[in-house]
Amino acid sequence: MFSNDTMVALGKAFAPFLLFDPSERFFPVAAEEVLDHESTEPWPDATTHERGTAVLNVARAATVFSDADVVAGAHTPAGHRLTLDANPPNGIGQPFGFDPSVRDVFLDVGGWEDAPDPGDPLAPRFTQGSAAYDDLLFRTLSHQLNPALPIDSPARTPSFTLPRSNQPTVYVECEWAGMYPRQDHDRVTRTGDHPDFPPAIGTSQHSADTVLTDLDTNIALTYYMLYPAMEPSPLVNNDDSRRREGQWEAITVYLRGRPSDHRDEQGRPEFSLEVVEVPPSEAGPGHTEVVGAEARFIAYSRGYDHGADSDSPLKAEVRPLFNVGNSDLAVSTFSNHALAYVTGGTHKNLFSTAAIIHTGDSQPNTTLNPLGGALMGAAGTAAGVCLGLAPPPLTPACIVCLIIAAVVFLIGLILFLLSLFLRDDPPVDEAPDPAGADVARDGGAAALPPGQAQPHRPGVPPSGNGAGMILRFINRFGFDPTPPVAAYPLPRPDVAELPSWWGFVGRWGVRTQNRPATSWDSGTRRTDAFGRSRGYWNTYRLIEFLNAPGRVTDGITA
Amino acid sequence: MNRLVVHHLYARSAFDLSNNRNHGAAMDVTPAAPPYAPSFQFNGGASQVRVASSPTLENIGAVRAVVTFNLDPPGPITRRYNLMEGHLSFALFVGPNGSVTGTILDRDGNWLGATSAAGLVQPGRWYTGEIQHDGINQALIFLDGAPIGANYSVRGPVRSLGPHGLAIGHWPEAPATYTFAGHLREAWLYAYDPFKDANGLLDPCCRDREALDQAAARLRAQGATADQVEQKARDILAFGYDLVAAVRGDDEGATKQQEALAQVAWAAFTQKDQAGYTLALAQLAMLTQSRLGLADMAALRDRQADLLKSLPLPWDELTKLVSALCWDKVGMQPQQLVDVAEHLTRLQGKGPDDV
Repeated sequence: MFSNDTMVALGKAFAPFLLFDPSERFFPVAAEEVLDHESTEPWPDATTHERGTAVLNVARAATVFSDADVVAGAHTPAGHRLTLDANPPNGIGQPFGFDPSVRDVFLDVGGWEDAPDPGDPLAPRFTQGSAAYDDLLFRTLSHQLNPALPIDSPARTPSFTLPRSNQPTVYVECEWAGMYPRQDHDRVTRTGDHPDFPPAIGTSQHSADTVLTDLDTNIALTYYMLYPAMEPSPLVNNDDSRRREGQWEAITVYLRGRPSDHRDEQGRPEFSLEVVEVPPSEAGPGHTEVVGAEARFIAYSRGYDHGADSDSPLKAEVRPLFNVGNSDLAVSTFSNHALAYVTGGTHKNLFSTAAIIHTGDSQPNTTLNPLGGALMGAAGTAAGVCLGLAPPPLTPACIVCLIIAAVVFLIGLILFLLSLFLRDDPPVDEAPDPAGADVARDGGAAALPPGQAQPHRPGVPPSGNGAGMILRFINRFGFDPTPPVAAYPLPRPDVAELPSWWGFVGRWGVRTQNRPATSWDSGTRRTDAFGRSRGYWNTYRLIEFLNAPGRVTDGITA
Repeated sequence: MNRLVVHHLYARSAFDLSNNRNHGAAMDVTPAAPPYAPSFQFNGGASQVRVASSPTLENIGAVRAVVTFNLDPPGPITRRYNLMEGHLSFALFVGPNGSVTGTILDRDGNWLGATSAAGLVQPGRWYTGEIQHDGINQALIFLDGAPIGANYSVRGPVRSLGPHGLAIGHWPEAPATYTFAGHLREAWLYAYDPFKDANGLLDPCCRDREALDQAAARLRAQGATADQVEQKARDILAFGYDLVAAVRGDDEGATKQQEALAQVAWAAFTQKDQAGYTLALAQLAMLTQSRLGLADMAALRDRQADLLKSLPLPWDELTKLVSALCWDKVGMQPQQLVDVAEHLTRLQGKGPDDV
């Protein structure tokens, strides 16, 4: 039986090392602490930041947020802290149903720096979160990992009822990889929207029923990390990089096994496998073996572009986990544990230490660039019209005509830009390309898989501490009759659980207004209403990897 | 600037590698074995890859469509074989005589384009066929990168794809009249993206975000929507292309001359080369005067005047934004423009020995 214990053993066996940049100040936290937080700063204050933690349900077009938008949680002095259950009025597990095309739901943790009303109706408000507060809120943990950060706390001491952790928390979800294309198919069937996954090759008679089955033999172990905030890289001028409160990242390991015909209630097949601990011997150190499945691929999530949300493909890089004969795709591992280098501030997971200049996703084709140049051609033509209708010597009217000729097409381009900033949310595919850099260096703190020591690179003294990660286990396979635990704190470690908030479809940080003058973006989601999570998009990127031209030459297949 | 909106490599599925989720539904095709792999084998009949219409397939404007193929019908080439066709937008196909044709549904509702010489495509060989339309008047076709045909009287822009979306190796309509036979390996589709042009001009070291913020706030306060403002931008763009098309007419020489001068002007603008910008604009102005009559000019001027009356913000505020983005580092210098034009006119009046 694919039991909870098997899942827990699998989760431990493949947990990655998270190696942070020495400058890092935000580390993976327990989501329960985010939810349990209650600010003591009153919302009616003239200098309010409107801090929570609260759930807000707002119109996407709304430009201000207030008590009236709070549907659960604390908005001091009103409301009460969120509860870790599905019960009204404050349970985080409530459905919070909303139409995502016109409304948005989000957690307000640290509030906004520009929440107070300045009295000017045109002055932008709610454009910036409060990263400084988020930092102080979890400073105990960040000090533990990065001693360069002194112990500190917010000026108005917030209230917590749950024990605070000083270890990084990682949630591992075990899911059938074949589930993701099926979720997509269900969504498309229900909504008629565009599919995310391509269909399998089918026939013209049954084109609508061809769910992609390429990954049906795979189990996906997705390790989720919740960062209180993301911020630009510390090293360079990164004005265009967006800050966000509440950032979900994830690493997914794919194991290929042998699915049986036995299915759970939601259609997942049972896999017959066994996790075996091999003790140390003369032949080598102790390690974990999986009998009945083979770890094949690993996907590292890669942060968020401006405007990115869970309804569009989130970035990730995929590689084979072990030896494939393509040295460009090598993954550093200790036993089964991959090493992920986390970029400072932006928390992208990299396969090696690196400094990356990123210039966005655009793939321009220069062949037709003359069309952009045609705008200048139009300006010259318009100038010719001016001179043709009013030949020299120049008259004032002709001069005005010429100046308009030169500027009018630039104004066209400016109107394209302004239209982007009139959208309720920045369009991810048309937003100005982010310019800047990411950096992930040796020598910082590390979140360690259970039983693993901090890796050292010779000559690089660590400035941060290594701390064992608290692994939490979410088993989506429904074969074990023992129900998952929903309560927190957990009755004991290493139990399979289904936290009340796991299905929360709102953002995990404040929503911010889409304005050109802000470097903030709205909080990210663990999942949207259709189950599109980091695990889902990592799997999308695996399909992309398997279909990429590089696979023609290296021969890597599913 | 053109953006890749569809990229399929037909190895395992029709996954869209362009990151736009314009995946294809591959039907009645077979993944090929070596030596044809990677490719899908099309067997005629219902074989096809279909891409549904999507926002990234709207407002195509200018198009570049490329397909790598190996035509291998059971007998000689005697009919049309579709490579890629955008429903009610553009088409690229092999003709019954082994020629290659690229067409668009032009401004007047006619399928117009360019056709190569006959017999260029031989059965059982790999080729890369391509159509480019610049959104204005040029339709160009290529085979393995070499130009094989051109038509300068095909009025754009290229239309948004119709409800049947994109058909690869098949006609967008249901009948299998033009279904490909043989192997298709890879397909790319590029479309014009004005946002990329606007973003590409932004100078990260000179961008007054507050000015943009205030302009956006004013637009929002007066109830303007993003769609309305974008539509006005597209109206201005369309007017610009109509100006260019009027000068080019159907003439290859005028088209190439105008295109070259426009590129020079664009380069001078982006490099903040005032002298080069003025020179290019003066040449463009002279070309305009040599190609258009007074009545045409008056009609264009009236249309521009109408356009300016309907701008969503006052002219002065919009021109301040041009400065706020540092797009005024080079600009129109009317007297210099006239002087340069007169100088060029004098040079044109002299023989080479007099210069």
